[in-house]
Amino acid sequence: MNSETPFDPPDRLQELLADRALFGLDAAEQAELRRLVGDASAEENWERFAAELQLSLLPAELEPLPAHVARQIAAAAKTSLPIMATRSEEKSHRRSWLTWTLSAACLAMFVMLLRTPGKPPSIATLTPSERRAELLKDSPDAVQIGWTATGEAHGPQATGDVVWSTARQEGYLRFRDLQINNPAVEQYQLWIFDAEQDERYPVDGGVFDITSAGEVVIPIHAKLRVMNPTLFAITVEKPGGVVVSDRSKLPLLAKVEDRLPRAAAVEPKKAIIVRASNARSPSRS
Amino acid sequence: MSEAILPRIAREEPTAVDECITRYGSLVWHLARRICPADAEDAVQEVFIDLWKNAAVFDPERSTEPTFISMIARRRLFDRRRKQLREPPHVELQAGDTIPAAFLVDRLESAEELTRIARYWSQLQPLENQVLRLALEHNQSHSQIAQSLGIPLGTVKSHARRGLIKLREWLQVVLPDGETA
Repeated sequence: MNSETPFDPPDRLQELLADRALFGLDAAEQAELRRLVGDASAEENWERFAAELQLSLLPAELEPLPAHVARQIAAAAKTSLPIMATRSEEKSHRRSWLTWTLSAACLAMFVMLLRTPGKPPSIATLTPSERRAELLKDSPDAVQIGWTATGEAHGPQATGDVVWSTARQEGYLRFRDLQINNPAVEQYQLWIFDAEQDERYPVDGGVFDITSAGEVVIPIHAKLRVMNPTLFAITVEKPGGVVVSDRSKLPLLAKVEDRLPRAAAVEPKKAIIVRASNARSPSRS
Repeated sequence: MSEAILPRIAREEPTAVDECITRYGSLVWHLARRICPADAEDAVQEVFIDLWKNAAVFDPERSTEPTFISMIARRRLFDRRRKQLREPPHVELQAGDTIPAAFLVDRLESAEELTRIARYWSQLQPLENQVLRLALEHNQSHSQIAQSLGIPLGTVKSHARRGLIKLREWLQVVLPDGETA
C-alpha cells in the first residue's frame, strides 16, 4: 500500500467513472458511460467516494451561507415543495400555541443566560482572539510558538505567535506589525510542515489578509489533517493563494521545536515578543 | 452523531427544511462558490431544492448525510457548470468570515478515518496529489487545472484518474453489494 504499488492502466469504464466523479461528463461521454456501465449504482459509488474525499479536505470552518440567500431558499421551498407548504399551513393553527409557549420559554432562557455571570458564550459568537484563548486554556496538547521574522519586507519587525492543537485540529495565528496587504494584489498564505507528509508539499493553511497594524488573530484553515506539525511558515502569494509556493516572499517562520513554555501561553503579552535573530528557510533539506 | 435531517424532510416535517439550511448551508455554499462562482446564489438554491426532492433516496446505510449532500450538490453543480455555454472564468475567492460548520462536528467521531485518508494522500505521486487536490479541494475543471499547472489536458485527466483509483483501492472502498473496489 504505497506509491510503488504497480497499477494496471485504467480501463475505459474506470476512466469515465473517475472523470464523472471528479469533473462531470459531457453528453457524448455520458452516453458512452451509459453503454459501458451495466449497473447505475457503480456511478453513484464513485461519486460518493469523491464526495467523501472532498469532505476530508474541508477546513474546520466554512464561510456561512449569506442570510439573504438562506431566506431566498426557505421562500423557494414553500413554492417548490407545495406539499410541505400545505402541511405547514394545516399544522400552523395546531402548533401555534406550542410555538408561542416554546418561544416564550426560549426568550426566558435567553434572558437568564444574559444574566448568568460567567456563562461562556457560544463558540460561534466568540472572536478569533477569544477562541484562541479558549484553545490555550482547554487543550493540554496545544502548542504556542513564537514567530521568527526573516527580514523580508512584509514584516521585518513583525512579532506574534502560532497556537495549534493537533487533537482539535484547530489553531490561530497572531501578528503584530505585519504589513497590511492589498487583497487585490497579494495575500498572505500559511503553510504547515508535517512530519507525516512529504516535506516538499506542506499543508496549505489558508490565505488571509492583514487589515490593521495592531494585533491581529487569524484562525488556521488547514486543508488537510495535520498530524505532527514541525514548522509553520507565512508566504506572500497572488490573491487566492497558490497550490505550491516558490517561497520567494517568506516573512515569518515558527518552528515547533522552538515552542514557548506553557506558562507563557497564559500571558499573551509576554509570549508574543519573539524577534528575528536568524533567518531560516522553510525548506528543511 | 447528529440526527439526520433528510429523513425528516422526506416525512414532510416543515421545520426540517430550515434546519437543513442551517446545518448544511455552509457546505453547499462552499461547493457552489467554487464550482459555479458566477452564479453561486442561484446554484445553491437549485441544489437545496434538488436535495429536498431527493430526500427520500438518502440511505444512512450507504453513506453519511454530509457525504450524500455533498454528492448530490456536486452532481447538480457540475451539470449547471456544463450547461453554461462557455467555461466560467476562474474567480479568485476572497477569504470571508467563517464559522465552525455544524455538520463537521460529526467528523470528530471519524477522526481516525480522516487520519487514514490523510496518510494515503501523502503516498500519491506529487502530481497526482496536486491534480486531485485542485479538483476536489478547489473544484477546478480539468482545463483550469491544466492552465494552473501548465501541463496538457490529457496529463491532468490521467493523473486525476490514477490518483482517484489508487486512493479508492488503498482505502478499500466496500461497495454495497459486498464487492471491494
